Amino acid sequence: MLSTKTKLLLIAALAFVVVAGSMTSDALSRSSKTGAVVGGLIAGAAIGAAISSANHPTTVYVEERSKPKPNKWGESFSPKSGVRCYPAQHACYSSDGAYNANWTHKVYAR
Amino acid sequence: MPMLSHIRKLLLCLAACLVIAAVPAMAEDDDDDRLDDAWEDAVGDQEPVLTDKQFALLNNLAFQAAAAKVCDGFTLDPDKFAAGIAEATSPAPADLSDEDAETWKTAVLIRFGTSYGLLLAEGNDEDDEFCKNAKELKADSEVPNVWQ
Repeated sequence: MLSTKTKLLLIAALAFVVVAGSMTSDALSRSSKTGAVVGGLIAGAAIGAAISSANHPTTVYVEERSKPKPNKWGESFSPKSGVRCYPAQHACYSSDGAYNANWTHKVYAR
Repeated sequence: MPMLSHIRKLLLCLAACLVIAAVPAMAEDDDDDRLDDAWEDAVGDQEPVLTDKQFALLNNLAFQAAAAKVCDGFTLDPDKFAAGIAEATSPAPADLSDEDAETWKTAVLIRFGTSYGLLLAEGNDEDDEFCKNAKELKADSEVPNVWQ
């Protein structure tokens, strides 16, 4: 629900736009573009202020969540370009290929 | 003609830009043949029944057993394989009761069988890469193998 202050600001902004739009004097028509731009800016500012005011939270409650556990099975490192080793599996693979027994032995079994 | 020449140059530049942009993307997309989720599901919650070195030795034995099934020209040597299993499972954890020792042996065998099955799956899925690495193992004099 909008507060009274917010409602008043919204009404004032709408009234300004209606009044500015209904003016038909020569002076205003000569500078109608300028008037429309200025009117739009003021109306926009008023509406923006009203919305901003209406959306100000008083108290924010954030539910505490436990951090996600790291996926140790996805952890890897590269002892050499083209080789990827997975500590959780005690195994190495060619980076773009198959299980690599040579590097598994060199990294984990020596 | 000059207009066509300009368009051709523009297209060439565009193609070059696409290639340059695609190369790092391809590099990022490089992935191995590991069945990541299957490995995690199969052995992710298993207790560390072996040491790091023993797990690695057991993995290599499972790989060689799988390569003997997937790749041409690879046959297990029963004596070498038995010695390899003995090495990979020694020493056993100390101070185990007879019952716990049996449980431990069962856990080790299950782990070996699981690894063998997963490596069979990976090898059959991408046998060219799998058998290429088996050949490299056979040719490496610094790393023991249990093939004939």
